[in-house]
Amino acid sequence: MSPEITRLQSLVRARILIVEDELIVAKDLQDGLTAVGYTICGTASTGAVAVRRAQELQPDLILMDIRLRGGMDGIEVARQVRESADVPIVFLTAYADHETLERAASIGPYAYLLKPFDDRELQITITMALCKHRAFAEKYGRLESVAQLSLFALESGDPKAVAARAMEVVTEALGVELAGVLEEQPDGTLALRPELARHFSATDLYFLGTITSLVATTKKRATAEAEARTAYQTAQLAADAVRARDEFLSIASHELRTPVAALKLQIETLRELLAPHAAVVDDRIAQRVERATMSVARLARLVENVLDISRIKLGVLALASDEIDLADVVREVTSRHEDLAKSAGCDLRIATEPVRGTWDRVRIEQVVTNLLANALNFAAGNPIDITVEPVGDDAARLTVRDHGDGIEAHDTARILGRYERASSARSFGGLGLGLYIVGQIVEAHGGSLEVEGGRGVGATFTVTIPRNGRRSA
Amino acid sequence: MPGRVLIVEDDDDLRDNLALLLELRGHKVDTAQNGQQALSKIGKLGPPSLIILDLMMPGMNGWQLRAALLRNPDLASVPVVLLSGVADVQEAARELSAVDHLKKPIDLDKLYKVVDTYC
Repeated sequence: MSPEITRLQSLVRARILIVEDELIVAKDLQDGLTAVGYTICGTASTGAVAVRRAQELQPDLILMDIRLRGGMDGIEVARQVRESADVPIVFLTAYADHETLERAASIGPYAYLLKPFDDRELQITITMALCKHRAFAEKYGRLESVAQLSLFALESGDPKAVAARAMEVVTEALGVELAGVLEEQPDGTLALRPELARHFSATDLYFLGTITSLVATTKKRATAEAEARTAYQTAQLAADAVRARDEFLSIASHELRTPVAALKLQIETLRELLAPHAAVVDDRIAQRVERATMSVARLARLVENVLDISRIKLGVLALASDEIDLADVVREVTSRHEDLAKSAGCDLRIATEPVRGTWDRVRIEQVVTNLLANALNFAAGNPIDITVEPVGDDAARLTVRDHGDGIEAHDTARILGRYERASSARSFGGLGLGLYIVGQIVEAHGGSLEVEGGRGVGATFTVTIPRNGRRSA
Repeated sequence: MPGRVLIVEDDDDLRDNLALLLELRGHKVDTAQNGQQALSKIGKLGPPSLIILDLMMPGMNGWQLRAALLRNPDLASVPVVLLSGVADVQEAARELSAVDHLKKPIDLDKLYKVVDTYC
């Protein structure tokens, strides 16, 4: 049996309340309607009784005479009844003046039948009113189910729970056991079995479509949220790990400072104590002391670099700028490195012009020191050219050119990255932090660091910094 | 006649070698392991020409000793050079009105220059 026929039958079985103060008319209506299969669940002859009966009996439809004896007319009764129950009302009246019509219309009646009418007219009017009401109730009910399901989907976000609830909603709305009508798709969403589509009206299909897309959307959203959560957690973990490492580096290098300083002084003391006895001390001892001095200097520089890296990473590289001459700084730093350069077999060739600017002296010293140390490390046995010159009126340029193995073209960009070194880790020592620090300091001064040179032609590091030394906003 | 240097530093190796190096260059050196010892040395020997002061020490630390020195009119003007591994030793030097600072690991040339200036 098709669902349509089932519906029509249920309309015929509808329970009707008759509100009519003319008892003969009421009896007449009752007989006529009973004859065609309707059930008359009650009658009322006054407004007050009608309101009470409507609440008690919950009729499917009310036939309502407008003119009633007593204080309340049919329109007022209808208004009160509709406040508590959504029941279709058919007004019956002999009068259709403008004011009455307007009041009746404000109640939202389902039909308005003018006396006199015959049984056939009445039957058709009742059937249409019931159909209209049922269609409206169904649409309203579905709208409400969709709204509630949406709310549930929003609140729970759990696609499984939403799919289960959707099944219930569909079963309830279409009034048939429908668990088998929707099938789960490979992606976990619900869709109507295609072979069943012809059994449903366009409205039903639209309703099903709305429900299934709601389920699909919930599923999609849940997946996206889960992915975002995972990505966020991964990023958090990575950030935590980086922070932990930087804190460790910072603490470790602080802790290292005192013992490194003690070691440095021990060796220095040894040197001083040996000095008066140079003539009688075994050369090998003197050499060892010299080498130890250099080793400890390297160790000290490493500790310094590690600390700088962690400070740069923690974002506390503050500049304390004064007006200084870059050429002065270069001369001072190179003179401090003369011994080291001699033992590395490097001739330091310096050409400077005075260039004054507002820079952090300690940091600029570090730039020169690191570039020089880098050249001494990677190009031992070859001369190193260091130049300082103005660039226009606003900037200074420092170049450090070594004549070592040079840097492969593809290495030049990444050599300035953190911890990067162009040579393999085995052939040279050092953590490779120096150039990174140079880059950071130069950047903090608003300048740039470039590196060039192919294999066999040596490497040239060029630092250009504005004279005002401020990071551009 | 060269002045006396008072080294206040808790690391034994560092303190002893620092003292020896300065002595080898002809300076008179006294040492203390922390703030209290420094104050009692000063009490016994009188104000030094220069104090080389570590910051982080057990017992009375460098900040506390510096505060105690500044409260005493006889000692407030004794020049103090900070010797520390703290990251912002330069800023600490400014806050504590130190005449200079030596960052660990120590730049010896700078050490000698500072000591020669005040002793």
